[in-house]
Amino acid sequence: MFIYSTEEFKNEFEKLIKNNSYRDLEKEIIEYFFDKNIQDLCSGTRLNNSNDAPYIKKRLNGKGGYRVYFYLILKDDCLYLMFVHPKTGSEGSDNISNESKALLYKKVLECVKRNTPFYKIELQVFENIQKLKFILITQESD
Amino acid sequence: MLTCESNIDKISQTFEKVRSLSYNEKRNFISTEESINTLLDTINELKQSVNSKKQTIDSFVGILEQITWLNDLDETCLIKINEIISLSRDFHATLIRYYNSLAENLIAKGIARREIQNFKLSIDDLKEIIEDLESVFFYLPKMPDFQETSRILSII
Repeated sequence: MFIYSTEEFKNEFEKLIKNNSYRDLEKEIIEYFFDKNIQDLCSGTRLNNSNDAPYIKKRLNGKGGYRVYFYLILKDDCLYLMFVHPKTGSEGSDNISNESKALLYKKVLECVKRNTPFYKIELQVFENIQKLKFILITQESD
Repeated sequence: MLTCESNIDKISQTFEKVRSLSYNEKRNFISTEESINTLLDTINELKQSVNSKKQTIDSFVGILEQITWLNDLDETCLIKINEIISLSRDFHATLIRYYNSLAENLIAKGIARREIQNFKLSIDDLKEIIEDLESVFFYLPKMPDFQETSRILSII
């Protein structure tokens, strides 16, 4: 399965992991999304009423809990991580607005259409710890 | 100078005194230990009850999430879902009152703090899924931008 990321997810993720309170976020993302069958990821709250390409909000545990928004394309065996936020702590929030959910959806559409740069995510091992590596994909590099 | 008889009296009085003191202390110690054990049992029962409520809420949140994976819902289904949302809001309000009572009376005293805080996180999850159900079934379907994005994605 291929895992991609929008600019919004990458920015938010990189901001959060710099904060000591959210140091478990990277591990939570890796454990939930990597080395999985795409069908196993069809759980959580489905926001768009699609079976083939569900837009999902998933609760991840970790310290205080995180919310991850992602878009699965079953036929292409890939997913796009769209946004993440913690529930608690200095960067925590209860929920995002309907307008934000719609905007994130629109941004993933631009990525799927290859109209905007996005990232392919791979795992790399650094000092025996698995880390996410974001590789920029542009129209030229695709 | 004390006579032998008065010595015996004095020793006997001391003996009675120490016997009484020792016996009473042992009795009181046992009854204090029982009181502490009763208090600890009550705290444990409370922790189990709070954990059990938390698990019930977590399970219910999972059930509500599964509703979002249903397809081809007609007007009758949407009316039922609207009722589920209203009843879930009532449930949430009751849980919040219970949490406030626990927080006011116990957290401040350091009793079952972790269990009560975890319970609150589950109550917050319930509130969140209620908002999400409204969003999925009643708000997002009415947002033209959202529907247009869905339409385009479905034909790519």
